Amino acid sequence: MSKNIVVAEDFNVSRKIIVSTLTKEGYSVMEAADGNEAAQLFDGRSIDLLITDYNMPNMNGAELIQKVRSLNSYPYLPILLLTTEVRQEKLQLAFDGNITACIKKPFEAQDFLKIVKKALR
Amino acid sequence: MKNDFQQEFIEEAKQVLTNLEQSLLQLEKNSADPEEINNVYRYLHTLKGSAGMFGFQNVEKLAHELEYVYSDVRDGLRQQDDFILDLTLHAVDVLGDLLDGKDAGKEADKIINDIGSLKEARDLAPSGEARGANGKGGNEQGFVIILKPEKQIFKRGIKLQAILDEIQELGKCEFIVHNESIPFEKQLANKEITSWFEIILVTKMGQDAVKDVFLFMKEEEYTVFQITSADLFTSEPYHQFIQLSEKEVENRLTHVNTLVPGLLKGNQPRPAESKEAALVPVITETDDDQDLDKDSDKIVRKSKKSGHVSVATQKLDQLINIVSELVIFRSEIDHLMADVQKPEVVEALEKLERLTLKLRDSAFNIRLVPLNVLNVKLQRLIRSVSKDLGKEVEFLTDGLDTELDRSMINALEAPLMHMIRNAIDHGIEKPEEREKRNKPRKGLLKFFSYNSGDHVFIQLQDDGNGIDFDRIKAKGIEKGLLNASQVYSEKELINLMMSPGFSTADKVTTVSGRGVGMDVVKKDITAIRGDVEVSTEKGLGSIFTLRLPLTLTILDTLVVTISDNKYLIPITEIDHCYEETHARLFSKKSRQIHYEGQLIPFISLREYFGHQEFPEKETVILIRKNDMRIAIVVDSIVGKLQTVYKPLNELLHKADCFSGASILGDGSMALILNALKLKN
Repeated sequence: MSKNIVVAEDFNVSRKIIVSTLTKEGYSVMEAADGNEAAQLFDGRSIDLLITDYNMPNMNGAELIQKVRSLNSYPYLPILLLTTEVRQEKLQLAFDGNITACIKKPFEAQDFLKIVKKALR
Repeated sequence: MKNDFQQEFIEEAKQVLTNLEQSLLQLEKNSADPEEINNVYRYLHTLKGSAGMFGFQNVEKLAHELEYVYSDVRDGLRQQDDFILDLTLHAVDVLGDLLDGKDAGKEADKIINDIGSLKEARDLAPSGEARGANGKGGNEQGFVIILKPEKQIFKRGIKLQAILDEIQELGKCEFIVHNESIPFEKQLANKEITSWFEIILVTKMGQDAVKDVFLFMKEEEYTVFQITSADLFTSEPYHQFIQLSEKEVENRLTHVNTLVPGLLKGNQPRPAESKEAALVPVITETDDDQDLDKDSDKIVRKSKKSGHVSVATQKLDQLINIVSELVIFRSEIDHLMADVQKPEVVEALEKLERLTLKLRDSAFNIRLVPLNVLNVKLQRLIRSVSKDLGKEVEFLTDGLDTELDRSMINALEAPLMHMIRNAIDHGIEKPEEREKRNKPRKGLLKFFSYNSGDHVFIQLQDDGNGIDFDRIKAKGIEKGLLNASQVYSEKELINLMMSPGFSTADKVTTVSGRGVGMDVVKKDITAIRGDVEVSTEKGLGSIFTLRLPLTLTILDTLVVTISDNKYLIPITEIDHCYEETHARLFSKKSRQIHYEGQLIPFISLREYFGHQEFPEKETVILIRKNDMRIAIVVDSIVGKLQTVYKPLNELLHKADCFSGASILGDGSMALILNALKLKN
């Protein structure tokens, strides 16, 4: 069964690239253009990984992560946070113990897929 | 099939290749420049990454192999030598071919093979320390991993079981579990980890693969030691995690020995003084990875900074075509409306004219490309030619930001390359000879460019031997083109040098003298309506100057008539016009006119085209081109016209008194006169 991944990223081009990279690898992907849209996808259905941007309208990455962690259905869901290099250290600290890893943008497809694969194990 | 993303990638990748080439050439000058080495590594890394993403597996693979070599160079494990440099430069060409979809797979495999032998050579070298990225074919290495996961590691979405599984997949291993007050299975079920682990692992995968397992782990959660001797378990760093009794040490050594008999070569625990040396801790932090990402980020930003949009040349050509048609169409309207006196119409027509001109200028500007795009190619050429000929050349450039029409740049490439070949082959002397002449060993080759008026000038200077006029003369005589008893001026000899089929190379080298000489350069440059000028000083060097029009297709011309036919003369060539009676013009037999104290020969076009009758009053047009002056006599001037230049068909190439054709405002066709050719 293919793994279900939620991708939350407000920047269209980035999201499209991420989604196409993942789809090509055979993952089934649900897209969300902001935190709010993403949160609504967590309605109890089977989700194996959340990849989210930090800076998003309506609900940002931090709020989304908090929201998902507070739900009973996904306590140990792997979460990958997309960050820019500038903010990386700060975010890593802020989310310590809550997320699986930070991915620095820009990233290369093969590195990205490696991390995704690992997070889905 | 190429989609848009791919096309974009190819263009970007080509840019990376150009940068890479540039850095490599810099490295040739200073092979130890750490910044350039890092640049090379970074470009290869970028290329590898994006190529994989866009399905160019062959590019990815080759770039990956090269990246391996340069990561060694960067880490000081290998010296960059000429072999590596040549190999990489060659690889740049192959990568370019692969991007173009050419079948260069064999070449790529060859390079990968060469790199393979490089690798082997290093792995065999006694100084070569064990390296992480040994890959699957590598030797077995032993590691001890101390794994102390956070109690709440599951909350981070990390499955500990998966990590342990992954370690097991790497090779043969032995787990030693500590703190098992709660059974480990139960800890897993409770999602709360209290145990910690010593893991002895023997793998062929290398350190990098081992570290990769812990990608999501925090630095303080794991430590990897490489087992290089039996002393590891009693060493100080190991003590920080656990103090082992003699029996426990023995127990671990047994584990190691069972996993790989002979890894420790029967080493027994040795006296304490060698303890420190025995230890090769593999610290987990990967600073350089971060730097790398920062750097690749920088590249992205750099390319975005100037806000460029790349457009397919096809689209541009289409735009230029439409604009050109519009220019013609506007002249046609002008022509049709010539009788209309209504001020509103006249005003509107003037506005239309202004706008068309603006549109034309902007459209042409888009096509302008800085000469710099040729720089890398030229440098490459200089490098290989000077190497082949055993000459040393310093290449200086200036004004490479001068812009020229894209098609001009393309047309210039071959002649420029040829001129440079010539300069190095015939101009610049061998280092020993230069020393004898009190010149620096390194020959100087200057390439610069500037704008002046409607023209772009490109100069190539060398401080070599200068043109050998004696040899040109001897050759000319030998070929029956010159008369041995006659004295020729340098100018005449230079003209001879540039006439078709003339080459002075004594032997046919691989570099020049392949049947192409300055004559071909001259022909190529003339084809884009440019000129070549040569000045030279024996023993001191030569200067070749190319004078080129800014654009190729639009021309300001004067329309003249002869009998009922219209002809065009490029306005840039016209010095002066005046009317004169036929009788006065033809009164002197010498066929010359007097202008500014000079006698200038004239040609009557009526006569030239075989007409018998002449009008009473004729118009004299003085032409000045390349320091040559000539006057032509036509019936009358019709007016000024901006025309779109169309080259003549091959069939008409022999009629070289015409340089091209154009369509007039009324839709009829007119030929563009090449006045200088009329002379002959």
